[in-house]
Amino acid sequence: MSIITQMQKILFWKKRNGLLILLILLFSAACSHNAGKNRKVQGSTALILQGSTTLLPVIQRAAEVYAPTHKRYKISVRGGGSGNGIAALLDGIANIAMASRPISPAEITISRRAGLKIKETVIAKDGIVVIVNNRNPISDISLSDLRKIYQGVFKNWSEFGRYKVKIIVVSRDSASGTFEVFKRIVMGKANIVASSLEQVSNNMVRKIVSQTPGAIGYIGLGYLNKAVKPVKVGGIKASAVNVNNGKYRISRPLFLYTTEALDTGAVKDFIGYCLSDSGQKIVKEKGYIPIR
Amino acid sequence: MKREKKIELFLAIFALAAVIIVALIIFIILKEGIKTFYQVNFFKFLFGKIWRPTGSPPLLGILPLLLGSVYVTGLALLLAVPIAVGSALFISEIASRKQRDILKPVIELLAGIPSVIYGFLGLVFIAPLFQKIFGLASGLNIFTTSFILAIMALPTIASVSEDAINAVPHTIKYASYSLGADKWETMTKVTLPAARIGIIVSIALGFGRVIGETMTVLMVLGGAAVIPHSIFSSAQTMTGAIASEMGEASYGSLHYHSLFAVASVLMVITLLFNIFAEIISSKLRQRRK
Amino acid sequence: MNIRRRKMNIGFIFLYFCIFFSVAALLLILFYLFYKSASVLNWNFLVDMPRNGMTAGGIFPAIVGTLYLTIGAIVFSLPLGILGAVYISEYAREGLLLKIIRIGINNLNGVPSIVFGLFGFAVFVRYFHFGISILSGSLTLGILILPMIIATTEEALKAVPLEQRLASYSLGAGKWETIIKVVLPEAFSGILTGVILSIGRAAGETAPLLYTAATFYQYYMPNSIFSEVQALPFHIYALITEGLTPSKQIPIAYGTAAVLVTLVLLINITAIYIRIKLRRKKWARRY
Repeated sequence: MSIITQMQKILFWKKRNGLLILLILLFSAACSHNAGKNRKVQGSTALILQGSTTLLPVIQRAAEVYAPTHKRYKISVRGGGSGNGIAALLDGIANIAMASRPISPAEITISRRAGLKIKETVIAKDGIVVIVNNRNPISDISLSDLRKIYQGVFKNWSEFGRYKVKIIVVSRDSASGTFEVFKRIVMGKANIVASSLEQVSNNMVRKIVSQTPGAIGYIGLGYLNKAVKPVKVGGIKASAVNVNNGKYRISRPLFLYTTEALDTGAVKDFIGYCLSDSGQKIVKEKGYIPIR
Repeated sequence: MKREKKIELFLAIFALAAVIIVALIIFIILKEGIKTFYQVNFFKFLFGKIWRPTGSPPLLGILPLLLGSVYVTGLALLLAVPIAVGSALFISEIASRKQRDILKPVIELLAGIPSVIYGFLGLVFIAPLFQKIFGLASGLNIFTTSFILAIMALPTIASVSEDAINAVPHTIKYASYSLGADKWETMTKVTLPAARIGIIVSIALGFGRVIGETMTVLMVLGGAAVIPHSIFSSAQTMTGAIASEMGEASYGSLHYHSLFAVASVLMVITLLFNIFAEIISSKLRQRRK
Repeated sequence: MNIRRRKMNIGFIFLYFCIFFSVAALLLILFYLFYKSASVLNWNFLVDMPRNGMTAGGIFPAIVGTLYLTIGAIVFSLPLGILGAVYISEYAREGLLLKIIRIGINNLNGVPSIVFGLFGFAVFVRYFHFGISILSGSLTLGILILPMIIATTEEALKAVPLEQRLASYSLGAGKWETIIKVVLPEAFSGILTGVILSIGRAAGETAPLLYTAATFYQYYMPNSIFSEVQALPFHIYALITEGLTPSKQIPIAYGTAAVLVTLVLLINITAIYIRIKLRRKKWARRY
C-alpha cells in the first residue's frame, strides 16, 4: 500500500477509536447525572444544616449537645446567610435550612417547580439590635432617623451631637435574613446607601463596628456583647422582654425549614429537639427568645 | 508498530482531556452567563453603575465590580513592580552565588503562602494598623488590599523578571562597561531596557494573578459594591462578588446567571492577558533562538 | 563624577531596600503568625478535636480534611497530567493539534480559582448531584493543579538527554518501553518536584472549596467521599466569619494559619531541595 493510503487508514482508525471513547465518556457522564442524587441528603442519618448566621450560635450548640447521644447521625452546620440556606435546601444540598426571615414567594415558586413541599418550624424569636462603636455617645435614635442614616442622608455623627466622626454604614449582604428583615421593617421602600459595607455574617458586622469609631450596624440579639454599644430605637431597648411584648419593632421569628419528604428520621428528631425543653434552654442561653 | 499506535492514541486522549476540560469550563461558564441576557440588556450589564442583584427590581450593572477589580489590581501592580524588578536586579546583578542560593528560594516561598493567610493577616493586623496610621474610618479599603496584593504579586513578577534580566547577553553589558559606564548606569540604561519585554510579560502575569485573587479581597476590601472614589474607599471586585453571593443564588435564578456572567467577564479578561503574555514570550523565545 | 557616583549609591540603596522588603515580608509573616498563636500551639492542637463550638481544642479534622482533599486531587490529576505530558513531549508532532493542546493548558493555568469553584459547584455539586463533598472538592482542586503537573512533567521529560533515548533505541527497545524504562525514571525527580509543588498549591487553596467541599461545624469524622470535610484554609476563613467568640477563636485562627503555613512551606522547601539535588546530580554527571 502506498504511504498515503497507509496514513489515511491510520487516521481513520485514530478518529474512530477516539470518537468511540469520547462517546463512552459522554454517555457515562450523562448517566451519572443523577448518581449522587439520593446519596446524602435523603439518607435519614445525615443532618446538613445551612443558613442564617443569626441562628448559628443556637443550632451549633444544639448540634454539639445532640451529637454525642446520637452518634449514628452525621451532623454538620454551616452559615452563609438565610438565602444560602434556603437555596441549599431547594437544591437538595442541605436538609434543614436555618432562616431569620420567612421564605419568600420567589423561593416557594422554585420549591413548587422542584416538586418540594416546604415545612416551616419557628424555634425562636429575635430582635435586631442596632449597634455603634463604644466611643459613640449616642444612645437612642428614632426609626426615621435610623432609616435616613442607612439611606445616606446623614453623613456625620455631628448631626446628632458632639461626636464629629464620619458615619460608616455597615450592613449585611443580600443572602442575609437579618438584612431582609431590617430592610423590610426599617427601610421600607427606601434603598440602603450603596457605599455601605456589606458583610457576610453577624460576626463580621459586630467586628467592624467594634473597631471602627464611626460605624453603625445591626445584629441579632444573641450577638450583642461588650465589644459594641446597643442603641435604643424610638426609646425602646432591644431586649427579650420588649420583643416578647411587641414593643420593640425590629423583631422577627427564627425558622427551621425542611421539606415534607425529608421530615423523617434524623431531621424530624433534631427539629423536635430544638423545640424541646433542652433545646429552648439553649435558645435562651444564647441570648434569643424561646417560643415556649 | 500497531501497539505503539494504540499507546499513542491512548496517551493522546489524556492530553486532550486538558483541552476538553478548559473548553468545558469556558463553555459552561459562558452558557450559564449568557442566560442573563435574556432578561438584562448586555450593555446595561457591562456599563451599568449599580450592582444590586437582590433589589426590586434587580439592578445588574457590573461597572462597580469591574472598576473595583481594575483599581485594586492597578494599584497593586504600581506598588509591586518597582520592588519586584528591584529585587530581580539585585539577585541577578549584585548578589553573590551564595546569596542568590538563599534569596531565590525565599522569594519562591513568599509565592507559596496561601492567599487566605494574607487575607487573614490583612483583616486582623494590617487593616487596623493602617486605620490608625492614616487616621481612616476603616482600614478595609482599596489601599490596604492593594498593599497586600502587591506582596502576593511580588514573587511572580520578580522571578519572571529575573529570568529576563539573566537572559541579557553579557556582551552588551561589557560593551557598556568598556564605554565607561558604571554598574548602575549599565543596569538602568542597558540591561533593563534589553530585558523590557520579559519584564512586561512578568507584569502581565502578575496582573492575571492579582485580578483573579479572591480570598484577600473577600476579607480586606470591605464588600461595598460601589464605584470607588478614592484609594481609601471600600469596594468590591468581580471575584469578591462571585464568592460572597454564590451560595445564595438559587439554581437557575437571574442572580445565579448574573454571577456566571460576571465570571465570564473575569475569565475573558484573564484569558486575554494570558494569551498576550504567551504571544510575547514565544516571540521572545524565537528571538533568542 | 560625583553626581554619577551619588546616583549609583542611591540606586544601590534602592535595590538593597527592594530585596530587604521581599525577605522581610516573608520573615515578618512567619514571625507574626507564630508569635500570635503561641498560646494555642502545642502538640495537642494538632491531634485534638475542636470543642465547645470551635472555641477550644484542636484542629485535627481540618488537617485530616486537607489531607483527604489533597490526596483526592492528586489521584485525579496525577495520571491525567503525567500521561498527558508524556504525549505532548514525546509523541505529539508540531501542528494544529499540539497548538490547541498548548493553548488549552496555558489558559487553564490562567483561570482564577474562584471560577474553578463556580465550575465545580455548577457541575460536580449541582449537575452530578455529588453535593458538597470530598469528591466535588477533590475534582475541582484536581482540575486546578492539572496544568501545573503537565507543565513541570513536560519540562522534566524534555530535560532527559537525547543520548539516553537514542541509546535505548539502539539496544532495540520500542518507544513506549524506552519511556517507561529510561525516560521516566530519569525525569522522576523533576516530576516529583512538580507534584510536590502542586500538593502545596492544592493544600492552600480556599476559593475552590468554598462551595464544593468545606464545612465548619462538623460533628462527625468524614467517612465517605460524599462527606463534607473541614479544611485548614477554610477553617481560618470560617473562624473569622462564622466564629462566634472572637476572643477565643482568633488565637485558634492564628494557630491554624501557623500550621497551614508550616505545612505549605515544608512542602515547598522539599520541592526546592529535590530540585537543587537534581541540578547537582546533572552537573556531576557531565564531568
